[in-house]
Amino acid sequence: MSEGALPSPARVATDLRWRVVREVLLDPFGWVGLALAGLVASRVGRGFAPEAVALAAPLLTLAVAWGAADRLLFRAPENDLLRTQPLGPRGLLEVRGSELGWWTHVPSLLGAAFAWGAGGPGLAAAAWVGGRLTLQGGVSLAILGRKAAGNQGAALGPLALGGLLLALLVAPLPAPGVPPWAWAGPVAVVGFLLGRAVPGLWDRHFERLASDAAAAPDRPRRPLWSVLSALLPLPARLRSGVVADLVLLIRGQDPRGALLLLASPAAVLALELNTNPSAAQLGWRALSAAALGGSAVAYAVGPAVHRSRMTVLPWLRTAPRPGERLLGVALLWGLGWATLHGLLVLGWIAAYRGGWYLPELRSLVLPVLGLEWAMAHFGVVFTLSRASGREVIGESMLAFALPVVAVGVALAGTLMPATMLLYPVLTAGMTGDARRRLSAMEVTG
Amino acid sequence: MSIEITEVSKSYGEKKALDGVSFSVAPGEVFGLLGANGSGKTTLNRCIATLLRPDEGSIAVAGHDTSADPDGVRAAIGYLAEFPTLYPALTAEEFLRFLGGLRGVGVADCDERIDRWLGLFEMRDARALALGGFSQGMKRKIALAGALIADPSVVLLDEPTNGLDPPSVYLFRQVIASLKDQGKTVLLSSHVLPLVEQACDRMAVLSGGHLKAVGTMDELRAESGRPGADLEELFLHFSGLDRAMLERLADAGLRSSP
Repeated sequence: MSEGALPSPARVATDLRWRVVREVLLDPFGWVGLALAGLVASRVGRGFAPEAVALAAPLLTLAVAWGAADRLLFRAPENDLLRTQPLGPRGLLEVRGSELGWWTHVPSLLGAAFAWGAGGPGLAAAAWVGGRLTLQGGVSLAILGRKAAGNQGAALGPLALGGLLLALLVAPLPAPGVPPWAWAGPVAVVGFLLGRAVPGLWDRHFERLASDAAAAPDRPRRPLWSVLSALLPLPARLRSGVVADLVLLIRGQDPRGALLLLASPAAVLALELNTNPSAAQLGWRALSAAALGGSAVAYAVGPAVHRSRMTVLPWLRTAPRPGERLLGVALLWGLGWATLHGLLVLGWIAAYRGGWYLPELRSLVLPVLGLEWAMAHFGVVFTLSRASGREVIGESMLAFALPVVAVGVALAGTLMPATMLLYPVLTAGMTGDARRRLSAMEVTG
Repeated sequence: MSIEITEVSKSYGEKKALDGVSFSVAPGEVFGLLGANGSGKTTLNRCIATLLRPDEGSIAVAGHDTSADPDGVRAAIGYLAEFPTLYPALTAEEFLRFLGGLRGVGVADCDERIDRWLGLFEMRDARALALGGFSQGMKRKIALAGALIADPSVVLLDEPTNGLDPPSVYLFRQVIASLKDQGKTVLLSSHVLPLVEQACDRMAVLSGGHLKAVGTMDELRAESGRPGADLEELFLHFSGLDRAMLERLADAGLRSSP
């Protein structure tokens, strides 16, 4: 190959970063979560003035871009590696700028979904275009924010912008007779012009800001462990596992699980209580909502959290009764979230129109909670009985198995609730495999 | 015996990692395991720690067979892996609490031990910091504290001083000495020959999955016929590397023929 055909170091680094990032961005479970979050954003957007949403949606991208740019340029651990490559400051900026573009598709899409709810597809398109135009403005704000406020204040800027965004949504705006989508224009123009200043700002301030960021001491973490240990009334032998799962979820080590759990409440949209359903229709819709959200919970408490747990596989495996303990922790974790989701569905029904559907609620409690528990249990035992280190053999099969479980348990719950008790019997073999698997697995890594 | 290894063999596909290895370690003994890269040290450690099953032979730890009663073994051991993995998002204190909980250590005991280990390693100021920001040496200290959090009677240390600075290596050696004083059994795998020579009562040399020699320094010297040899010479001799290495050096023109 001739030397002229060699890609630049920045191109090579960008390709390598894409290989890392795509695992998260192209994760099909993440897209399911994003679709659900978009659905919720669209529903929520219906309650807001289109003009305010047109202003707020690109601001959302700008605020997220500011926070993400600050992390990518100054705080990400990979910078130690990237800065020692023959990239130079401009090359680093190019690599991180590309990465910023990939990540901010998420807030841009959510902003567009929000705008769709408020004003339809035209407003959604304006919000999307506005968001993409403001993107590089986030880099300028990250540089200026660090220059003005140093390491301590760097995180406050995006939060302040987020606060402005919320204020815009509730503030009454004048209506000068322009179409709602045009309100996105000023934000897009300001963000775009800010973005044009990036190279100059970067060249002037990179060395000092990067050096200050590298020298910043770690901040102590909040004492989550003690608080959660005290609050959660769990058996002593399982407590540390469940608390670890929760702390890791809160601190972002299980992003897929967090996204799925955050998206799971969107399943209440399936209830469609405003259409005045009959008692039978309400029953099916409640079970549909439980099955939809229960699927998200089953993935979160099954394959998603499993990867996070397996980070410390040798420690888990060399403690006494590893398989039994992990199954206990996983079931507590799974059934806990399933119960919360089931109660959310039931609570949503109970609270509608000041208790309009309360008479039907009693007959729904067992089928809804039973279905939620069965799906979470299935997610857990499917994962643990097929675990091979971090991987779950045939993980995609869960997508086909869960609907079968949901339909079977829902039918049983509707036609003859007592037959739901057959579920634990039918899955006893799989539960036994789940208990034995970790104890017997050979750990080579 | 605290650790009894009898005719243990283990293969990865076609490759035989251990081949008929036998030796024993007495209670309260510090025993060194020496070997070049790929000699089978880590595989043997993993077999003893119940992470791998021997294809043939048996291993007993504190009277429990690793195949028949692995949970008995797990309750007795503390295992520091060669490359210990930690949760980067947990703090040092949280991670040690997590490990204490895994092994059934009561809250008061756990608190006392965490404070003792962090104090010894001068890491009390770092107890609320995330492990992801720790240096390699700090992570290894936390991992050692984790391996000892349940006060095990048998301690398996696989390359414990990797990535440590000299003061920390000295500190680790003192920790090993104190474990011996407490009557605990220590199996120490290391490339750091001075550490093994100073810390261990007896040692074994593994090469290509075979056990080449077992004994005290004096016994190894007598067996090799080299009365004044240090551990490096003995290790090279028993692992068959001395002659081969000299020949390679000569081939490379770096030394005259052996």
